[in-house]
Amino acid sequence: MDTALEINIKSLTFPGQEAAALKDIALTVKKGEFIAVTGASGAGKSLLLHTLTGAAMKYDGGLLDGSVTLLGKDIMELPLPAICQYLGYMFQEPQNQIVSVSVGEEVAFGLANLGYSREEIACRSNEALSFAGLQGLENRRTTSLSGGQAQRLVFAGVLALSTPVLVLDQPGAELDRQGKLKLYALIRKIHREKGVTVILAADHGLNLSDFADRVLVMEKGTLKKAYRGRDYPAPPQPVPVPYSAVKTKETVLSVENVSYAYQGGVLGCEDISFQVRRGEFLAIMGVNGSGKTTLLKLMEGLLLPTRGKIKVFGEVMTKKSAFALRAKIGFLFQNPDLQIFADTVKAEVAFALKNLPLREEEKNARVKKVLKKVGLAAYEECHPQRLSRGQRQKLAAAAALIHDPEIIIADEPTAGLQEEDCRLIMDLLTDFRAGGGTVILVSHDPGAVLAYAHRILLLDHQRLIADYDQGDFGGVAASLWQGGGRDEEEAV
Amino acid sequence: MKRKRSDGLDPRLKLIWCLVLLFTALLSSSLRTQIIIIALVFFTDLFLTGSVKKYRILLLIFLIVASQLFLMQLLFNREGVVIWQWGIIEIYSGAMSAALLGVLRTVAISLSAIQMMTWTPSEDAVLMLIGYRVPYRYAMLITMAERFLPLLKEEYASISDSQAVRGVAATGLINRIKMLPLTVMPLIYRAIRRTSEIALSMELRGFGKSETRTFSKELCLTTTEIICCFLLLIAFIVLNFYFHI
Amino acid sequence: MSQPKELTQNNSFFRTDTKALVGSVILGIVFVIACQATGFIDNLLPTGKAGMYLINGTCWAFFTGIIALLYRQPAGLIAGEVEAIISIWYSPLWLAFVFANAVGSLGVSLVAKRYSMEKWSHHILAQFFCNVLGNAVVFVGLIMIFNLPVKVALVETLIVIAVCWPCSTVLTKLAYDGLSKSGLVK
Repeated sequence: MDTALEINIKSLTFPGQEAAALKDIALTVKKGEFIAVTGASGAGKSLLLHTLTGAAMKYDGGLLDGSVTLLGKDIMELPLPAICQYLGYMFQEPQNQIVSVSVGEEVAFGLANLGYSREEIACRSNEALSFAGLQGLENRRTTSLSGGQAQRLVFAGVLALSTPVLVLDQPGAELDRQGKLKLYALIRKIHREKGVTVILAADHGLNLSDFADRVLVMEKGTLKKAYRGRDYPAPPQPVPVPYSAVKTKETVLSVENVSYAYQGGVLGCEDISFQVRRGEFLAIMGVNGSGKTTLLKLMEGLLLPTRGKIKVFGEVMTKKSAFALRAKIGFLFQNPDLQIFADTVKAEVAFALKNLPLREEEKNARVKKVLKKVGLAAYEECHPQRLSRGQRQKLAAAAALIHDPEIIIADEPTAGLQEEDCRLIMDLLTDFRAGGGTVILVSHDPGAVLAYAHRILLLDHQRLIADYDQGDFGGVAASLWQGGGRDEEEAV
Repeated sequence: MKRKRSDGLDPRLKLIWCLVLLFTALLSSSLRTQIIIIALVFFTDLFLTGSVKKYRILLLIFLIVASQLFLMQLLFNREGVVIWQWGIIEIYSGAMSAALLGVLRTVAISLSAIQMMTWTPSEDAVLMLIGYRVPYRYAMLITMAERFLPLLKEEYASISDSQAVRGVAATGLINRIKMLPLTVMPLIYRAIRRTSEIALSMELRGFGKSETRTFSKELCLTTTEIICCFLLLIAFIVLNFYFHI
Repeated sequence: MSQPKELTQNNSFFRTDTKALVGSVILGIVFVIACQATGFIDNLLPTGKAGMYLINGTCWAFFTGIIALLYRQPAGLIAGEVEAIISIWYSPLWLAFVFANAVGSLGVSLVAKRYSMEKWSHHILAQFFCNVLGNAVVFVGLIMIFNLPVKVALVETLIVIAVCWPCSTVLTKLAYDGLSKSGLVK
């Protein structure tokens, strides 16, 4: 038997929803094939993968009209916990898949559930850890791992099960480019060396023709196009968007010889100086542990420098002045869920206006305007938690824009988003800049940075090591795009 | 990490030790007994782990509780004779000793429980529960609590930070109270989303497939440990119900 | 066609699927974090200085109620015990919480088994049982552990119930409706 998966989905619907979430998907996956599924946000990629595991029906309550056969077995006949004998599944967020305290226990989790002997578990776990480049870390606490290590640990846990089929849902979504490339190299290796069948919802910015036998493009819950892997076009290397030079010399933010040391003397950042002029689109880059987060917290006024000072519009950021200075800044976080608390989209956006001396009608008009701008006008009364991840990030952007800030500080605003959503968020920031605002973007996504920023600051070992203008990007672009630079684990 | 003497002991012995101290503290009304229990916790910890530093963070909590108990007893305790009077406020002779007993008992109970917690790795606690016939699906929740506590605390700090930079004032009593729903609701939403993914990830790795599961080690009570358990139980019965210490 | 247990066990007392068990631990930890935050605030208030933790008590009843409503039993009990055990590190009354959290949660579940929890009256009743049963156990703890005079412990307990019952009812109803609207729970 050469078939790994036989998929025949006439429709998949969820109770209370009229439209089918998936429809008319007929697909045969041969053993040893590598299939990449791609498509815009909400196209149904993750749901298709969920259907292959049976989770869409057994866990999420979907009603399937059709059939999915995994290695000759009807998926509906297999209980969810028995699937792991045939299929290994991994999704985006590593922290939601690691359930053990130590690395050794985590990699053995699935094997132990299946009742293998201790010797067998030890043998398979060591092999999987070694394959994922985590050998020697068996006794490490899982909380101490870097993002890349954590995702590779999850991968090792799936590999240890030695399943003939791997289903991976954007496994690199939460990783920086280096981590992503490293993880995909492992996936390719296991596919080539062990002949494992791989079906993955691909992360954006990768050259799928490098490894996929077939690339399936999804749209609105169905398969729109199918390519042979080698025919699928490679993503273009980002080309900087030309911009009009910053005309004013007004400095909106200046960081002057700033150093910060955490309790116990751990260095957060050291002797960093730079200035940001009005109208600039500045990007701050660096691997995890290079000092980006500390610098960001200092600019937000959440930390105060142990040496040097930060000035916003000429006023020194202190504990006292921080509250007033923040009123001139809009903040956009990596994870919108860290701020969303309200019951409706409208209430969430309007919250920022609560303390402004505006009449109710004015507030409503502003809310409507900003929601229209971010494309959420139709969702005004919707509960924010019903929105997709990309839409929630747009909602956070609306909340940041509504009080007409002069600067926007964005911390990895595109992490975990689909290409289309990334573009939308970056376009919003570009529009904001075009309207006279200043953007400070902290990111490890070279695609977004190289295409949109006018200036890049590179941090390493808690220090500012380079300051490039758009004209100088040529030298650094190729290196960033190929995931060059210091490895995140060295920094951690 | 350096292996401590306490690591080699069976968690069941540790549990009996903890329960003996705890119930003795609850049953005894003697100040001397409470002091002995506190001393026993410190001595055994020094002997088995070489340090009692972990108890330092409790000092502030104990000080707050002590101040509350003294205040309440001095104002409201009516045992003994009046030793001081000012207007309607009367202080009775029994107040001080009652407050002191309350404070010492609180300290004894808390220290003995913390000792048990810090001596017992979560994996050992899981194995102990499985030994008591608790299904592994339930017993393993202990390790999950240890795994996710720091993660969710970090998340709560991030939520507080993000609300603060959004312009929510976090200083002053009223602002702190106002800020509660703004920080707790996102945490609840995140927790529910997280729950769904974690549970699915566990099930897709065979969690709950069978009634039993392989664990990396097994617990085994040695003869000495069994004898110690019996001696502790006998000592508890004799001291509390015969000598009424 | 098989359906997830949460869809088929709508009004039942028990729910033992993996999601409910994991949810009990995760929300139990959120419960701990919220109790720590509210306990800190209470310590700054005069009522807190007198040993009456009104905000903390409201938070306790809210979480005890909402977890039992979302994930039923034994999740409510597990979450309560997670809170009680971790509270060893910050609350000397932890021993009373071991029992108070359990009876409070069971009280809510008994009401939730009987009623749809769609009306205010259902939440008022559930929180009444939760607050009275839970605080009754804490009352015993105040006497046994803190060695407080019975009358003082009784007055404190009654004040806490009088304040926390209405407050926690409002919070639980609003949050429960919000969570139902969010689509995160079915």
